[in-house]
Amino acid sequence: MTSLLGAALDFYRGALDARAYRQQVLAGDIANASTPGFKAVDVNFKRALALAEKHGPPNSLLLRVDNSRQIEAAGKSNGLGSAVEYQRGVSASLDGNTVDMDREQVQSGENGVAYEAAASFLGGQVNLLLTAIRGNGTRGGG
Amino acid sequence: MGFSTMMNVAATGMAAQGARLTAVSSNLANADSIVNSSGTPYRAREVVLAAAPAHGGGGPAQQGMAGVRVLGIVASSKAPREVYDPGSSFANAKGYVKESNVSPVDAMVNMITASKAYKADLQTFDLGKTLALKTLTV
Repeated sequence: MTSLLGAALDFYRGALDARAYRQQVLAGDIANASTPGFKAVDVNFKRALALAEKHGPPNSLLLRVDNSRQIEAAGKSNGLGSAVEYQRGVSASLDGNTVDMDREQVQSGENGVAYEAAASFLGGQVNLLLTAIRGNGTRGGG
Repeated sequence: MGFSTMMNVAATGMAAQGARLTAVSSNLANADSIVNSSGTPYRAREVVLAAAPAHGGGGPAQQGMAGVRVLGIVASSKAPREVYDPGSSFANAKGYVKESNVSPVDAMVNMITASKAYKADLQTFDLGKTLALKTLTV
């Protein structure tokens, strides 16, 4: 985004995107806790945040066009998939599964709190901008 | 949509663990079965799970994400238990009756791990809901 307001909020958008993506990956690990041979993955958050900031929001809403004067909206990925890495230093169980349920739940909870924190900061930033827009002492048209 | 994928993945996990719990209850219920309708001893059922591509809200598969699905239900190939009961009408020439091959210990261990995994999936689902609601209040 290039607009002034967009620039103020864009960082939080990227942070929320990356946190939400990590949350999905951890959910996949937990769902596969008893799948034989499943290798646990996690998101390299530093890389995910950089990618989310670079690529902008993903677009899963497709608009098809049948006339050249219509505006097309093609699907666009935010490229976060390339920040997914196999977890290292985890021991595999007899069936080859490497999901450590305790670790997954701790990480999932921690990531959830971080997401809520980012959402709170975003709310604060929005309030800050609204205060600046309204000006001081003139609220309500007085 | 981010959290719909997350909740879908948790739901696939709950469905898979639910299938495991169903198999466990079937095994425990039939632990002492001697014959089923086809005349052979009951064999323990085992659920085979496999990772599957994750979808969010009917959209395309999400990159780097995996749900889980039930690949199939197989019957255990362990030998049936043989119990000496010469008075039984199901006894063979040596007086042994073939019973199911269910190991109650295996079944209980399976039940505990499946229910713990189910709870973890449920918590994941709940967290997804909480975060989605939190996003609405920004």
